[in-house]
Amino acid sequence: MKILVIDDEKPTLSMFKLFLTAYGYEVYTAQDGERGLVLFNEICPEIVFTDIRMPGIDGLEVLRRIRESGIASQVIIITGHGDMEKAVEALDLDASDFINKPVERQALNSALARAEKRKQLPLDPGFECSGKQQEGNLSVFLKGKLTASARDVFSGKFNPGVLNDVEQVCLILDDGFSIDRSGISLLTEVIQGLRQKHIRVFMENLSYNYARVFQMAGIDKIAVLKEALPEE
Amino acid sequence: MTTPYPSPHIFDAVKRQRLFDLLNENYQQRNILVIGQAAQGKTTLVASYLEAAPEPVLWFQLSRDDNDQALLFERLVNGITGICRQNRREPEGGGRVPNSILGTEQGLQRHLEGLSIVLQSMSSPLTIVLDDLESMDEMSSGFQLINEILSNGFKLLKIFLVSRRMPGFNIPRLKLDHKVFILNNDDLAFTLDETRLFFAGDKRVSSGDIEKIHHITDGWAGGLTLVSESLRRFKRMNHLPDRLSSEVFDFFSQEIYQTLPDRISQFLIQTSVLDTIDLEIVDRLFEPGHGLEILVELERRNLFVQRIDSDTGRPKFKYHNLFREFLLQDLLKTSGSSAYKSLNQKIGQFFWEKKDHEQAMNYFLEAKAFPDIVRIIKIKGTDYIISGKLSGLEKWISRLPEDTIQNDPWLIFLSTMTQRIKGGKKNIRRLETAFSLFEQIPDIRGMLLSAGYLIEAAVFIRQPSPMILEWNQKGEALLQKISGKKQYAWARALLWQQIGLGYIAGDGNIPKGVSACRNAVLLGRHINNSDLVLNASITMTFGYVQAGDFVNARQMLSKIKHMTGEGRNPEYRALKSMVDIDFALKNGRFDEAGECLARSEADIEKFGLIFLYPGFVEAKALHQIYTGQFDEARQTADHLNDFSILEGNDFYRGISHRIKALSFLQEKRFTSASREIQKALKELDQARKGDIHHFLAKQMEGLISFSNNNPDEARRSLVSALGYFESIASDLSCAETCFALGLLFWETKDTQQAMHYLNRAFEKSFAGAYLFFPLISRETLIQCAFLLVIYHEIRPFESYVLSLLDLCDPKQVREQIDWILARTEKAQTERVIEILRPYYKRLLPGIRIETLGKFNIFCGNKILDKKAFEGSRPLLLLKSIVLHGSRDIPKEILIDDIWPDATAKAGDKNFKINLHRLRKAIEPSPKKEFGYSYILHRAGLISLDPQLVVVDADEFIAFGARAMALERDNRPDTALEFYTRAVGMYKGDYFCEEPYMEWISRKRDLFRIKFMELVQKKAMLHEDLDEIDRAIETWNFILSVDPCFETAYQNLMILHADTGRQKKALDTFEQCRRVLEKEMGSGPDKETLFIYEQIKSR
Repeated sequence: MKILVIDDEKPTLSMFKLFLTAYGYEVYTAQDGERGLVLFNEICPEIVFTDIRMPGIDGLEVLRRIRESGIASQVIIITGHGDMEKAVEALDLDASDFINKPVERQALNSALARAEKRKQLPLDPGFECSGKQQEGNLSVFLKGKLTASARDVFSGKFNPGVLNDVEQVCLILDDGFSIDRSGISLLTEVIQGLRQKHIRVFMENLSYNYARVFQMAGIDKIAVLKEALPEE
Repeated sequence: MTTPYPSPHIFDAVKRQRLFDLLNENYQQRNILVIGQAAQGKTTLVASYLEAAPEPVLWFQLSRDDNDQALLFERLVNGITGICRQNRREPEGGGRVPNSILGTEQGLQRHLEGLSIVLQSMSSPLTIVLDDLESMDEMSSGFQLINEILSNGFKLLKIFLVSRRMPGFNIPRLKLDHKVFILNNDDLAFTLDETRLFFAGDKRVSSGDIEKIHHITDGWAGGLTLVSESLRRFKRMNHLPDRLSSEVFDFFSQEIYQTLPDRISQFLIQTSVLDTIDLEIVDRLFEPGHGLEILVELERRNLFVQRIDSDTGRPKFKYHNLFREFLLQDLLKTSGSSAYKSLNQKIGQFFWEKKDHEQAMNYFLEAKAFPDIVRIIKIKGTDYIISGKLSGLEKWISRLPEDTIQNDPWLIFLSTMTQRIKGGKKNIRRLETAFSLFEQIPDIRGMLLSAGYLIEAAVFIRQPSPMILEWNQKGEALLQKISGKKQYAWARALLWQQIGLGYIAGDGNIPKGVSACRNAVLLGRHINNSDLVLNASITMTFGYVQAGDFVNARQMLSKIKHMTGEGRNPEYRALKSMVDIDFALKNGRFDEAGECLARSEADIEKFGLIFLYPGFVEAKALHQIYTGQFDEARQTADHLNDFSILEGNDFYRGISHRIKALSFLQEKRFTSASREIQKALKELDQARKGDIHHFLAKQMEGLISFSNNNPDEARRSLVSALGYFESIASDLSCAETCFALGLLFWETKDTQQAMHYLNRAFEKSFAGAYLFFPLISRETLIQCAFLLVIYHEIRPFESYVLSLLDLCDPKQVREQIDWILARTEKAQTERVIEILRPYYKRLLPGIRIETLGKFNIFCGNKILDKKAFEGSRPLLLLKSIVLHGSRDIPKEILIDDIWPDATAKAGDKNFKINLHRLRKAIEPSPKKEFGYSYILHRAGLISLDPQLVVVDADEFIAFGARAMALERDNRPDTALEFYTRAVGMYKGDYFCEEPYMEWISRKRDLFRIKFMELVQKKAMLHEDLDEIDRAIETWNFILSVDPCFETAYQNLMILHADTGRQKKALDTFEQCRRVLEKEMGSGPDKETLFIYEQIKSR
């Protein structure tokens, strides 16, 4: 599988190349966005890692142009700590994932696993949501991409009538689940609504990096976040 | 020249002069690509063209097997080394490419490098033909290898590529670089003239027929052969179609084939199963006794059979691809697929019995004989892993049904090994499955191997340390269980080596890793397996480098060098670079270290040597610190930390902190340094990271504590570090620690201990000739040296210390003199100043006074501006000092020269004022404690310091005296050198700008006389040595100085006359007469006239 890594720091590129090659990928590198995009069009990699902050064409622009190209690559954005705003912007552009610098192994593994899983999914999966109630526990399975347009589908699962005997809600994210800025707002709004009704909320099967996004968005203050088991 | 890869036989081919000319014109192109449809005469053309080639030709008939770059590499290297040996040259490196030990790059770069080593060892040109290129998969590694060979280009290598279709190389680029010439299908097509040549002598064919044949075949060589054969049988032209191309080959072949006797057509059908028709197999399985006869007849008629020479002495044959395809189709049509399979299985069995398992496998695969395939895989699979020829094994396994593999541990293990490294995380799961299935049987060999490669996979994909440790312990337990048994030596050695890798690169327990590798080396030697010994040695060396034990690393490298064809192995080279970097850094050779770093980085990237990467980053950071790039060094340290985080292994976190501590220490930012070293010590746990990292941090902790005025803590850390460094004989680290301890004890007023440690420090440094100390600043070093000086303990190391001081910036040395003086008790100051004075004087620039010719004073390389002397008197005073010999001159003599009429009091006053001005002009800011250094005034006697001031007149006299002494000693050549130097120094009269000073003029005359004496002696010595031209030149030089110097005329006249230049001699006399008349109003003396007469009368 081909992977393209774009980063303006030569040592970071070298490190990624060595690691990803050892993981068994065919690795290509570019030291700026421009060269990265040229290489992208030449080799059509399945996965792209791009640093978000680069002189010239930055990571978000790289992501935007990759999306415009119509080539279905999974793009993982490399962000610095606290780049929340940019990370959310990347989610709006359908980045498959993002990882913080310095990159932890678990974050890298999780991003790669997620990207490989997402590759198997249809291009625009839509949002699906199904619920299952057992005594006071309501489990809601979230699949596809959660955006503002899914408001009715998502909020509908928590109608007052449904929540009568519910003490806790467990939101279980599918492996290929994704979200954008409007989706995060919607999710926050729904969880806050549940909290007001004194219902405890758990979120399960979060990818390593999504758990970080939800923490940055403050969702960890209103819900218990449970990460998926690390990839072996 | 004969080779194991001969060109095909060309039977009665038409000479294609037109194409030969084209090839000749483009022969300078490195590669020649011949492309044309089937049976277009490509092979025939190239073979007939190269028949006359003076250089050896290696002909490779490519097949699907060559898709495996390891196999193709082996074939190429065997061919090339064969040529080398024929030329009585042993090829470099032997063409062996050991498996990867520390890198992820599995083949292409290594094979390319191996090939380039072998090719570089060739001394004469070589041509390689790669025929049937179209049979290779363009995505295969073998094809990539060919692509790389073409792109790289090797000086003495020419490649002919023969293919039915345009191969997927970057042809425009190759053309742009003038690396390829292409001969295409149209070029190859027979012209009308060539068609005439083809049918020359065939009376059945008229000129009109030939034109028709040319038209319908469109120059297609295969078509011409078919027509010729058809005419031979049917003797008529009217049945020929309008156009004849390779598509109608089947139709046409059918016509000819049907006319063949049954026995022959049956023979053809059956033998079409064979890739190469070997007569032995033909005799055994098909047509006993008649095979050769049939094949030779077909060959004679050009009927799509090609003869290939073989090393067995028996000819082998090969059907043309189109013809073979036709025959195979007929076989399937007439006899069915079961007959096809059965034939293949029979042939496979034949080869298996002949122990040619690769050939056997090819036929078993065609026959889909799975039990036979599995049997061969299980027997031979491990050999393929050892040799790294994995794509062959991969191809075999891929043909097996999935359920055959699933429950068989060997097939799971071997199929995983075909994805070694590139299989990534999946390999761990598969090897775990294989291990547990082996455990159930139980199969010890399988367990050993799967555990070994599982550890390798876990290390390569950087699994967390606990997981690697768990498998290391499982492996050790397994080895323990079978200890004492003699079985499975290779598998045991391999597992030891992988356990070593696991400990060193995965868990960070270097002592255990080195010990495991040592076991592997011993076992490897015992079973005489050089690959294993090499791999374990490389892993062990890596451990030593990781541990910073460069003494052992260096020793191991010298052993490895011999194992790898003078060190041609990426791991060896990269490890050696690391050791060289360390050595260069410790010796202050930063440029060299920088070059090694660049080389090391290139190898690490090219070959994916992931384990060497952090060591490289560490060395890079140290290089940055020593070259003053502190911020960059800390960034690099951060990167090392990033690597540690990504790796999920804390090994390099501690090193990263230690680098930062060192950078802060060098910048004298002691608080930051202290913070970082504490972090480093926390990470560099002695038990797991090996002692050296711990004690290096401890040593730095001591230095930082000392700089932070915490002597007790510093002493504790430094003494414990010293104990360790002594135990491992690390002299440089010992010396550094002793320097710090010496200074520390001196600061705490324990002079005895201070001198003890400083003596030890200098002893070690002197013995090791160290001129650079990574941890000890120059300032500290100078302080230590001066402490030894003032305590009179410097003598044994004096010359060494002086050479160290010469490397320091004089400003730094001055500052350290101040440092010493500031710490000296008042009563001792005078004594210490006198002791340090020689060292202080070494810091001052030398003064050179030129008196012969223009008067100049040089300070270093700069002329002193005379304005600085505030008038002419100070300069006159200096001239007077010089004139009186520069040493111990009573001031009264000087006063008498300059102020002869002044009263004693006035003279003394003038003297004082002008001496002060003179000293100040020469030495504007003398160090207070040491006073003026160049002009000394002691007890009324004035001197120029002989170590600091040089006078040209003194040198002139000294050189002259030396020249004369040498001449007396009968050493004329050396004497001449000194005469030349002395004469060269006389650039004019002594103090020529003071023509009226009487006290100078007497000495001026003396110098002039001395000069004339020395030049004459020089001229005469040239004469004695028969160097007539140089003698004439020297006498003429004398005349340029003194035109009335009659001796010069006399000598010149004699020299000219003796060398047959009588007119020149007489002219010289005339010149002498004229000059004397004009300048002195007199004529030549008697002797001159006598010489004149003598010459005239000759």
